[in-house]
Amino acid sequence: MVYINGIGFALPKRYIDSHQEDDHDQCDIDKMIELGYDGVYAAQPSERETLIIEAVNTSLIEAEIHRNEISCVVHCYSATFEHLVENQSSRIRKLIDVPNAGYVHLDQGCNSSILALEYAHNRLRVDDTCSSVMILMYEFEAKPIYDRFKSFSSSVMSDGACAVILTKRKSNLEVMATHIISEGQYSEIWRLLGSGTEDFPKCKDVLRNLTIDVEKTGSAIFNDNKKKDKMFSVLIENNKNVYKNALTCAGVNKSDIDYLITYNIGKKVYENICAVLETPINKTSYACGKKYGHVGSSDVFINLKMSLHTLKSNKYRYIALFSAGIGFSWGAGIIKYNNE
Amino acid sequence: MSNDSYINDFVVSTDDESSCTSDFSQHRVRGCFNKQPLDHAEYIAKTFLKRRAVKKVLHTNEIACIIYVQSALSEYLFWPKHNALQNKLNLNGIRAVSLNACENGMLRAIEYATNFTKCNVDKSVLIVSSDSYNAMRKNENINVSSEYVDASCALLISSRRIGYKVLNIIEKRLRKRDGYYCYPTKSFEDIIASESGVLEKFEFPLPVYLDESMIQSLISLTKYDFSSVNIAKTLCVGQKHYGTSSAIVDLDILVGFGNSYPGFISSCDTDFYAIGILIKKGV
Repeated sequence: MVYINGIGFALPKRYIDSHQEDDHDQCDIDKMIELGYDGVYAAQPSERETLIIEAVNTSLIEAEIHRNEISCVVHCYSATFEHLVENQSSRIRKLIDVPNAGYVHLDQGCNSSILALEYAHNRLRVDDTCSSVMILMYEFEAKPIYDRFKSFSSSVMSDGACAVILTKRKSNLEVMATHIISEGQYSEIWRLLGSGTEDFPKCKDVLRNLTIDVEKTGSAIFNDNKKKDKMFSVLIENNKNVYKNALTCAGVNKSDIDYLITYNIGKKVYENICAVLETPINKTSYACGKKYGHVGSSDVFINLKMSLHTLKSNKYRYIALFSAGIGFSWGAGIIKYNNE
Repeated sequence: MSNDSYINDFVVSTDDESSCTSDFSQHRVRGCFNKQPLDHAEYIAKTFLKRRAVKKVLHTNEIACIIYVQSALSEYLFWPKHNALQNKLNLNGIRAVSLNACENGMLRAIEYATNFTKCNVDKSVLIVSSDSYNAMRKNENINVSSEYVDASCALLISSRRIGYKVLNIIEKRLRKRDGYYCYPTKSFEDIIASESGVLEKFEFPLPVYLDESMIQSLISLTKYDFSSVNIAKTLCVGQKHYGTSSAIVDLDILVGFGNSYPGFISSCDTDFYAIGILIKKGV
């Protein structure tokens, strides 16, 4: 069996409170309020690496494991130019100083966390040489790709880092099952042309295509009601299916789930997800996540850690994790909380 | 089905005729080059799925995961290309994953698929890889030690007892702390704000290769005797470089050796982090 032994996260010093008008220098406060967020965190560039290290160190302490014992690091990322992925990852390897670990790089946008959880769950079950897996997630936005304050109509991005350690050593969080679904027919929405394989991209190309404007890249869909309706029906079905399949794999019923921990999408979409998953919003991590915005793939595990007191005090037993990401992709996981 | 994982079948296509000898032609197919890597990937995957051997073993709805192994080059800044590929192959609704780890990506994909199929014994994983190196060949700032050749490949992994059994997957950091050849010294914002090209600001990797002592050190982690293993050396200095498909080109070479298995494929990435996979034909 596979357990979550440690969760560490770190959020920046600067918090932009949507109710404090003094703080709204670059921020669309109205949008933040409309999407139901109390605020977002914004890191200084110099702060980013410190936050990643802090999250890693906290997870190691909580898991009571030495960094030399980590067999594998699953590095989740999003919002990074693909040309920089390997380079950035190499730098992070050096920073976090986990010397004996192999590295896996996974990207399903904000769903990378549950994809990584699935990888860790599978690997720890079948690979005798692998005793521990660290999942590393972080999100630092300021352009390119996402503007943390403008991001999408469905969420506002926030900054932060999170690390999770899984082993075969018993803890009160047992991973029972995971499931992932991906859907490619709308992938064009996130296609940003840079240059070409004839030449490396130059800065002028990068600057011209710096951010994703979903309204523009997805205009062929959004401006056609029939196509839009079809897309939403696909999204709804996949929300349902990924959750249903994870429950089936875990051998539990929907009615057994005591608490749902999700990513921090804006309130309107969140309410739709709750309706589709037939879960009342007060039995979810919504109240927790709305305080700090959408920290990409880190959301689910930050919310899990922040919800531990709720799980314990209410004697909850079965916890569901749910997330979705660009592409599109969806992920669900079922956790058994040993409330002892 | 079994508790083991098998590379049931594979195809590889390279843009150089000389490497495609008659001895090693069993898994070679005609390629589709001078296009974008995603077009290569689509072509090779469709060609692969039409193969008689694959059609014979693959049941409807059996593919539960598609892994797109991609190197760091394409015309797009940002695009979940694994999703684009699954759509082109009409495989929506299953897992689609990208694995980027330079040349280690392919062996990492085999490792990922092996774990997945051991946990899901009735499912298969399709791995697809493609590279186009026009830009790299032209860029004078990159010090490369090999001749880069465009290549693509596709393979199917499942628990079905057909093809090549994955005996061992091992990982090792070969040299601690003297790697890190490939990480940016400048911040993201500095790179974006610079006047010149994005990648020119990087310390690009020095030649990365596996020598015999490194391979021996990897095999020593398995129960096999180094002298009894056929070895394909992925990414050796001076060799042709088939990008993320290199390991599968090597697998084709191992198949060409005949029945004297096991065979060993290995590669390393820019941190000298190496993965080795020991395979054996049949059960």
